[in-house]
Amino acid sequence: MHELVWLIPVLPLLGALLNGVVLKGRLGKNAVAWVACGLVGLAALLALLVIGGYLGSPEHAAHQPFERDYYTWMPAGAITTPDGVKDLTVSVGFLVDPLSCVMLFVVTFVGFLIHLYSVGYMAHEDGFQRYFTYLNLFMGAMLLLVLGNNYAVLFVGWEGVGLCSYLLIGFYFKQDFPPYAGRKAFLVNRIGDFAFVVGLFALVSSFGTLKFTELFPRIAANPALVQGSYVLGLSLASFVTLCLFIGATGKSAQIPLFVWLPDAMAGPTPVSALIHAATMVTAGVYMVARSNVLYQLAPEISQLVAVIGAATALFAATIGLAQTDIKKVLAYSTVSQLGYMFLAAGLAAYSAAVFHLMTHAFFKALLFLGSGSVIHAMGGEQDMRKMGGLKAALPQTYRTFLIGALAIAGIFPFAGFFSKDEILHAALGRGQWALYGVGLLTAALTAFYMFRAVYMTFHGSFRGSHEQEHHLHESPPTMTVPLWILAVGAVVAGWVGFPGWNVFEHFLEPVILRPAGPAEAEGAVAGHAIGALIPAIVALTVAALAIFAASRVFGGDRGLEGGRAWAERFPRVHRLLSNKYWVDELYDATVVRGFWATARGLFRFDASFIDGLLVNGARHVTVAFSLLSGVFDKYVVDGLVNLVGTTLDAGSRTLRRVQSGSVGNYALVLAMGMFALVCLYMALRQG
Amino acid sequence: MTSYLPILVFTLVAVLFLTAALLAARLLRHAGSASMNLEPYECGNEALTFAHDHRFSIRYYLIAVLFVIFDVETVFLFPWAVLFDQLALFGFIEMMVFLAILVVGYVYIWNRGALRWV
Amino acid sequence: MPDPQEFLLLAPEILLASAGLLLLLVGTIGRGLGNRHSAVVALASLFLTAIDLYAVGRSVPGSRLLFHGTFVIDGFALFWKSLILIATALTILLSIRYMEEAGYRAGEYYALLLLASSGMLLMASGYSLLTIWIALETMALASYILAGYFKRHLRSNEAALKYFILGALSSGILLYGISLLYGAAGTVQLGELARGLELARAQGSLLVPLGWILLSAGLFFKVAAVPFHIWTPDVYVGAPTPITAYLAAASKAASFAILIRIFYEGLGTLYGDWKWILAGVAAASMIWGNVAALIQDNVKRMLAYSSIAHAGYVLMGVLAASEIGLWSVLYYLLAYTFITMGAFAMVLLLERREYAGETCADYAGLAQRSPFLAAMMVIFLVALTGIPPTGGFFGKVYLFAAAVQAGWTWLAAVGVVTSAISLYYYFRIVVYMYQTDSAEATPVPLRAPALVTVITLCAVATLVLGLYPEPFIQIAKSGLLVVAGR
Repeated sequence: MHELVWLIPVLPLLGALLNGVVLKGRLGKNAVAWVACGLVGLAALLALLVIGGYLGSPEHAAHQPFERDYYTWMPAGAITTPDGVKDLTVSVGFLVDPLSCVMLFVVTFVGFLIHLYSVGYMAHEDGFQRYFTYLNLFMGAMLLLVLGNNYAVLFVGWEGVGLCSYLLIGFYFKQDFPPYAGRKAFLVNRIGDFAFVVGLFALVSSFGTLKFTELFPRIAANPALVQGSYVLGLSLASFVTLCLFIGATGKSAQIPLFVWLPDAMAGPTPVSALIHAATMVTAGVYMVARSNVLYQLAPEISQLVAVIGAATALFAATIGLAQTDIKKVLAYSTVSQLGYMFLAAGLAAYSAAVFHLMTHAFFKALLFLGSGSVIHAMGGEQDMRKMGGLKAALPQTYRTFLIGALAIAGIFPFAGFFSKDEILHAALGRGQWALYGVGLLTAALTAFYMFRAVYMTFHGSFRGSHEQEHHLHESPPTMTVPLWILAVGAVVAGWVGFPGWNVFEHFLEPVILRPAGPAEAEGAVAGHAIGALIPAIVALTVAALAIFAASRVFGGDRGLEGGRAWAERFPRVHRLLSNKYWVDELYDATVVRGFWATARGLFRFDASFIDGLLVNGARHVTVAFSLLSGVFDKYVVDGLVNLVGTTLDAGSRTLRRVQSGSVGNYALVLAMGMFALVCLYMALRQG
Repeated sequence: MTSYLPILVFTLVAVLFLTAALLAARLLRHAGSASMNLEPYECGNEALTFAHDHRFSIRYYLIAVLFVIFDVETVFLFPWAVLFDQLALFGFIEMMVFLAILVVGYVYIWNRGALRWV
Repeated sequence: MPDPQEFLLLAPEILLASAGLLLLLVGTIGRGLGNRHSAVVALASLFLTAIDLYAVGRSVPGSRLLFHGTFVIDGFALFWKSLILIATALTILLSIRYMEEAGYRAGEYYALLLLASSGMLLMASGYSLLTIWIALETMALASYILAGYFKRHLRSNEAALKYFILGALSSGILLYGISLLYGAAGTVQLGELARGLELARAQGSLLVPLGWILLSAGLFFKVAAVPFHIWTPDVYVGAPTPITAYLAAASKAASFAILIRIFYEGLGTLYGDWKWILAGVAAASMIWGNVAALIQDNVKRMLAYSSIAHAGYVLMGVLAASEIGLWSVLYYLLAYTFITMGAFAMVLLLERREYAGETCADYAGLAQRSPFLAAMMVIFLVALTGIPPTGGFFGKVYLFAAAVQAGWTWLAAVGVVTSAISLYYYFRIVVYMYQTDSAEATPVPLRAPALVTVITLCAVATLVLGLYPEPFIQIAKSGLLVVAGR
């Protein structure tokens, strides 16, 4: 069954093709929805079958991946690598192993639910078909990303999801802000992608292959290959992992490239759920987990990953405290949770990172869809200050949102508890007390701002306009059913990682190769020395306290008062947080301004020097030249004919009469050409 | 070099023959009535205009071209006839194929009416 | 007497020529066959020829000389023959509706196409200079008539006359070169020629350089390389558009087949002599073709200059005289056939009445009128420029790589720079299509399903060649030749 894996990305791509090209404009909304959801549903079903097939296969039993190369994409020819000339060929091939199984499941399952949800959410929007075309295209690209058996295919998917993200953020292209946000996302990601590509080049030039199953076992067996000094005092492993990580900071919105993600909320809410919470933004985490061998051999970069992850987690969580837009809260929460995942990955707890990725996909998608349901009911209103008391009008949404909030806050037995615990546990086990502290603090902040959102949105009394109040309604079943399914996921998804039982970690074990030599991970064993129970209880207590604090400040009928009081007590902090530390402004003042200044400078240089001298000069030369060749026949040839005519005497008048037609001129050119060839031969012949 | 001797001989013969023939004609021909000899049609028909500022009917060209084509193609029949014995059946079949292709062309121009003078 | 078996191996050519003659004959009986029926017969005979060709290919592993070494069947020949058959079939598909609207008799048209193609098939297999010359003339004579097939159109007449006069001149030059080489080497059979010329050259015979320069001048004329390209723009513009496509694709391919065969196998021992000539011609073609195309406003004329430039790129690969050089040439021409056919099919679709709709301005706003067609045209233009993900990209990459590997870095640099120049005039059309408003708002009528099929097919082929080049590279690698004496 798992032989059919190639079909999984093909199905959504087919949907995009059908909706976007073949049947463009010919289908009604229902048919569009059926095509898009049907094909993604089929892909999800097939994904389950493929995962099942793989789990039952002898490859899995032998801890081997299932791999197929479908075709040679780029036969790039021979390239010279340090260990000899290699025939570099890049093929399109897929890899099924535990890691891609997890991703496959998350992407298709959550993706399918969000497709379903979108049918209801987008029902009254223009561009229904366009929306589903992009969404299907995204699914196809994302599946390529997680299934690719080499970095090149991964990169195709990586760029493909980037493109779809850009298209979907700017989906409401008639408004001002969304296209800007799309461009911002695209440009910020380019910075990361550049580094990513540089990393890939380094790999290609050193190993002559980009294939996971060729690269990693070889490196794991012989770590010396990547540990020698490579460039700028970095080893190859460090250089490559650094480049790849910069790529990941772009895609997964980490410091310093996180600024695009909050703005990306300008897209439709299901898009935020699918792309900017559950799947695409986790691609960076997936990629780091996939490259775990390299990261293990670059301990200083791993440490950097962990520090950046922790810093992002804390930083974004604090910003989340002061946001009033419900989607912005979720966006910063996503940035923060992604930081968590990188913290885990940097601590070499790759299975914990992927575990958190999976649970996060469920509860964050759930929260986003819940917020979408709220926004839908509020007629597009996203400001929480104008909400309140929606519990009564939207009971289903409220319950599911609450489940999501509990999950993200890390309350037992919801999914977030287990995965977050795993990460904190890893930090503790490796003796990284500072990181553990930051993680714990972030957990508290997370619980606090999530319940702040819950209270502001669903509790208290309604603060919106009359019209909105009148309009309030629970969402249709195509929206609530996915909510409930995700809610179930947000509860049970964590159970596979039940401490001490740890099915998940064992499942991923074959993917995490341990490099030979002294670099053996030491913390993994030590971690179990500390009882698993105490940190769990600590985390749980902290989260519960944070929720209690939130209920004290925002709960009951206090409405906005509690929050306002706190803001007044610490005005500077509040200003700092609500303005997101002025990072956007900082970037604007330095990077963007600097860029414009450089551009203007270059433009001036262009206008004066390049344009004036080179381009215009070149243009004149080119135009003159092409005019020259255009009028060559007319003047030069005729001139030559004239020359012939005047030098020869009257008898040549007959000749001229014959040659007055252009055919004659042409024949003369042929003759002259031949003459030129003879001259050329004479001039250049050897010996 | 000796292999080119026949060509030299052939050239000489051609030159001699032409010179001799033209000389003989000049010596033998009836002098006078030059104006009549320069007429396009010596049969006595009056030419209406000069040839170089009046166009001939395209049919002349067509017939001439067709004649040249078939005339030249028949030249191939001579060497074949000379060596008929040695070429045997194979040569015969080859020539028949050649002629068949020629006939296709002939039938074509016939059917298209190129031989009709109307 | 040759072995009758050998005639079986000649069957594809015989079949195609017979089909041409048959079509000619049937066309004169009564009112003859209609346009559509003629086209169907022609396509069917092409199909049968293809099957026959496949059978021949299967029965001859490696290479085999026939008819006293004047005719060869090898992977190289089979590659070109297949390419020629594809190009001819596409041309016929392009012609159906066109001929219907033009109102000329169709029987002879298709017959001539088949006869020209049979000449091309013979060219691909010719192994003696005379066989090649006869085959070339078979192709050329039919092409002259085809170029002037629209006898009531002034431009078509002009094209035919120019093509004929200059073509005859070049054929004469070619034949003169052949006779000089014969004089020097005492043979016209390519394999023996290489050895004979080496000897004659060692003796300092002047006939050798004169002979091969004349011969190559004739060949350069056929592939439309500077400075023997001068006929190309006028003929391409004047000829009926399907015939222009045919000349640009099939005729060019067949001419390259004999050019490569003659240079590699017949003149291979003189590589040191002709490499500079070839380099000069290649550079001149790339520069002249691309620069002259800059100011063209007529799309057909622009494509004519672009075809000159592309001849330059291909010559660069020929010059490399290496394995990668040769297969990249074959790959490039394979891709170029589809690209150029598709581009001319687009021109055809937009043409109205007599020669209207051919200027760049006529493409204005096409993206609004017919987004599909505009997208297809973009694919072809992108491919002509050599940008991924199209066949044109890989073709150029491999050609440049071959040139660099063979030490012709400066030539590759010329190629890259002129490719950059070409971006300007190709994308001018894109700008017209996407950024200018059209005078008309109605979609371009998709007049002929066959035409749209060809466009789609060519676009798909162009993309597939760019996305999945591997099998096509394998195909191109099946047609390798070795340079004699190297």
